[in-house]
Amino acid sequence: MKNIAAAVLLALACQTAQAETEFHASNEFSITQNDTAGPGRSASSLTKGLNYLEVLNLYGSGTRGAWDYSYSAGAKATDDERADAKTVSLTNLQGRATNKVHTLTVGDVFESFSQYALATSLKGGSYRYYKEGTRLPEVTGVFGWAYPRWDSVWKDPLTRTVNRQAAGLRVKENFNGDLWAGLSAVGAKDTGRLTAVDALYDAKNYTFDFGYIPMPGLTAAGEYSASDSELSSSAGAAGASSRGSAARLELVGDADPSRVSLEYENVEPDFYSALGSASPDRRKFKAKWRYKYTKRVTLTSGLLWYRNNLDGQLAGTTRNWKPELSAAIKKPFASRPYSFADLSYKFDRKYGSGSSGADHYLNANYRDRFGELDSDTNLGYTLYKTKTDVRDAKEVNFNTSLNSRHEAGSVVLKPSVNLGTWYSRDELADTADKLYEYSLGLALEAPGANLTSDLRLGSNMLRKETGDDSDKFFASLSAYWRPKLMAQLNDSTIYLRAGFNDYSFSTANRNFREKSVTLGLNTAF
Amino acid sequence: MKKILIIAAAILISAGAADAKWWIFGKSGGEVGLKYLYVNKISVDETGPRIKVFKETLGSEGLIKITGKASVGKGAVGSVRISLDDKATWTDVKFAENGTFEHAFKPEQGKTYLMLVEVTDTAGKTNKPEETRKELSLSDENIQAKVRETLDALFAAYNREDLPRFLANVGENFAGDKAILDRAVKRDFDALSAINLRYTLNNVAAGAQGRIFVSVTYNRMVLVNKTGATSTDSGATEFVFDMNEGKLSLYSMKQPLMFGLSDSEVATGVVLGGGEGLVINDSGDISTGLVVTNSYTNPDQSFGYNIETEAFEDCDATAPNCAGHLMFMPGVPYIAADDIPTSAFIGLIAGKTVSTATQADAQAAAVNQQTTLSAGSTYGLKYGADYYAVEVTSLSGSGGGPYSITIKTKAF
Repeated sequence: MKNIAAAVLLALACQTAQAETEFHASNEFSITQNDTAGPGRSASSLTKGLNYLEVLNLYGSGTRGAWDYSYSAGAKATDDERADAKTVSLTNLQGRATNKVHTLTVGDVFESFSQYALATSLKGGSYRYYKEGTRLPEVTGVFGWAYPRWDSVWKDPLTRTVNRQAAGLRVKENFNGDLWAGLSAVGAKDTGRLTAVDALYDAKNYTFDFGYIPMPGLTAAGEYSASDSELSSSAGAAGASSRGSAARLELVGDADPSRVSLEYENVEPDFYSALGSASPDRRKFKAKWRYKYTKRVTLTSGLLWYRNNLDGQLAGTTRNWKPELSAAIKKPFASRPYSFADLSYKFDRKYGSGSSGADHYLNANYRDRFGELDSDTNLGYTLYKTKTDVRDAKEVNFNTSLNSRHEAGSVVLKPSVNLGTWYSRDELADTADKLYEYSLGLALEAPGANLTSDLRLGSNMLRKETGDDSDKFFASLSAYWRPKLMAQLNDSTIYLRAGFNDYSFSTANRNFREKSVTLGLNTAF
Repeated sequence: MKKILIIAAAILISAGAADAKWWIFGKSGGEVGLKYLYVNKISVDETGPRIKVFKETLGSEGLIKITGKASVGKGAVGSVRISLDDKATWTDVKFAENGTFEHAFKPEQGKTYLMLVEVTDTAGKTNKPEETRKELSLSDENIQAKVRETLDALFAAYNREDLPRFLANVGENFAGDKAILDRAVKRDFDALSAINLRYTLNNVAAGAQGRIFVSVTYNRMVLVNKTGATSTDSGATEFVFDMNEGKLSLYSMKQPLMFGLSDSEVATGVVLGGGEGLVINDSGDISTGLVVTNSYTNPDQSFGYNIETEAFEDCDATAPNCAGHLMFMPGVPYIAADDIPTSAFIGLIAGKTVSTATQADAQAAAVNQQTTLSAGSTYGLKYGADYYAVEVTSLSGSGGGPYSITIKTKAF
């Protein structure tokens, strides 16, 4: 049944293509040769050997009578199992037609009703009614399957998932431009368990959301959603029925010199949204204030608080406090026109349910230009402190980069140097770990020849008081050339990417090396 | 809940009744201006000076729509005009009694439109059109190219452990909360090094509301600073992006997570069949999803592997004599779950690697005492209350031995 549906969609896309008034295509083809060597090479994430990747995308639009239409389709092919389990796959397929009142979409349908109701893509169809200049509400209906990819639709064994069938209806009324409100009903039903322990849901969500602009610069938005879900029994787990609700309210005041936002959210433990986005069992409050103190100084402060165990069913409640304060200063030194400083302090307090931690994050960033050199320096200090002896550590990280730009005829050279270090003192294990890293880079741009390239090499060295030390040496080269090909191929790029990584450890049989060379061609017309 | 609604209603009513000269705002209710202004449903208050619009989000009619509401304090709106060529020409726009207006035009590829909006009240007082100046253009990139550009930026910043550049691609309204993600990614960077995270696109869908759904296949290698161990995994996950001034920003992520592994609360959903992926615990170590690789050569055809200490050992062909939790008999060939001292079961997970196998796969497979051993196969193991995936990546030898083996294991 779904194969037939997919075939119909493809046929529809092809049929509309015959009457196109605008058509674009892009294609990328690349071949990659990867080599791994050394006794620990099985730890590499590269697929050894020669592999290819082909990505094709089509887009078109036009008009037929009173109807405007557009369509898009894309496919991918690769023989690298780490890039995709499928050799050939359909990446996207969509057809859309509208007469400015009725809009029909088939294929990839992403009607994001609201955060709690529907915030995922479906493979199916949708219909929208919207007539401008009338009091009639905007109505959207959607039906489809919440598969992450097209191969799952035709139940390919490699990418098969639980079958999640979805349907939804939304009615949205724009009252006077200052106020709009929407009502959504969404249902999702799972079938086709792959393993005996797969959770299958039959869930419904009824949602109200709104937006309101009571005065210039102030907006309010909110949402309330009620869920009614049923989890069928599976191996080792009993079925359950549950009802819950989620609500959020956000106020944003934005006009110079301030931007203030206030957020409140309450998601009950039994709230479940199969197609929306929510973190269950959370009550959250957040305030943020950005204030342009002067033309040069902007202050930002924020406070986030949230907790779980809203129904008291857990053994303990975990509470989180996350305040932060930062200052961004342009020209902190009046004599240095390109100087910029950013200072921040963040605190992370988490306690309850047997845990208690208080982490402090301090960071200072300074950017400036010294003659031909642009510099960017970052110094951070983190203190992880727990009363429950889980992670007590002091960490310092320092990074600095120097970049410059030189023109030599028609060529622009951009050399760069990066240095970094990280120090971690673990008070529980009474050990100290250190990481040193450096890299040298040289970017080259030849605008007349449409050529850009970047060469980079460097090393990371991890030194541990206990455990394996490790060194990683890396070198990479990337080059992109946009030749003047046929007039129709107005945006073509030939590229080369090469990389070499050499990992060595104190335990020599973990050592391995990776070499990777990719040659590719991007074309578009 | 009722209290919340009452409080919310009270705030909204009082805000609506209040004078706009609230101390935090610089705007006055009596001024001639715009209460709001949108370009294709994007609030211009939220954008920079340039707004790029993508073809895929224009709708089938291919129009850019400018909507807004004129605000003139106590007077009445006299006129609303829009210029798309930096004041060279003006177009009178029809407006409703309450000041709302809409203007639509079909943009041309490669052309830049300098938009200004002028509002005049019946007394002849006007707003400051310069404050509404925006540069509009139709992007010649397709949405897939833009998605790839944004994912490239996110993945590159994460691989380089560059927190500011990473956060620059995360939206302020990130569903899992940007402040939580900020700290979680910082903890990731303290816990991991030599991060090598790559992806290929599986699916991209653009919605009329300006959001983009993206599904990817990922392939990851990390080095855990705490233990010095490396781990690789791969699988599929999903993102949603918001579109703002021609730039995409991360709106939501699902499990398995790519970023913020130190706090699973940054995920607001789970990919169907995706599993948990890598999880960094409070101590800075990987607690779930760590793939451990081990190689071993045994002089004969009987050896064991202790899944908890992650060590091989030579032993006799009977389980009680081998302290491992896995028994290998490649000469037969079989792989067995050692049920001494606790009950243990094993079974084949077909069509998956140790990276892509989920706990559900291991639970479903681990129902036998032993099963056929072969290179390239992945097995689910139940040991006590814990589940593991075990992949035999290479196996060589014959007859009575010796045998060399490399396995990858993952605890759930």
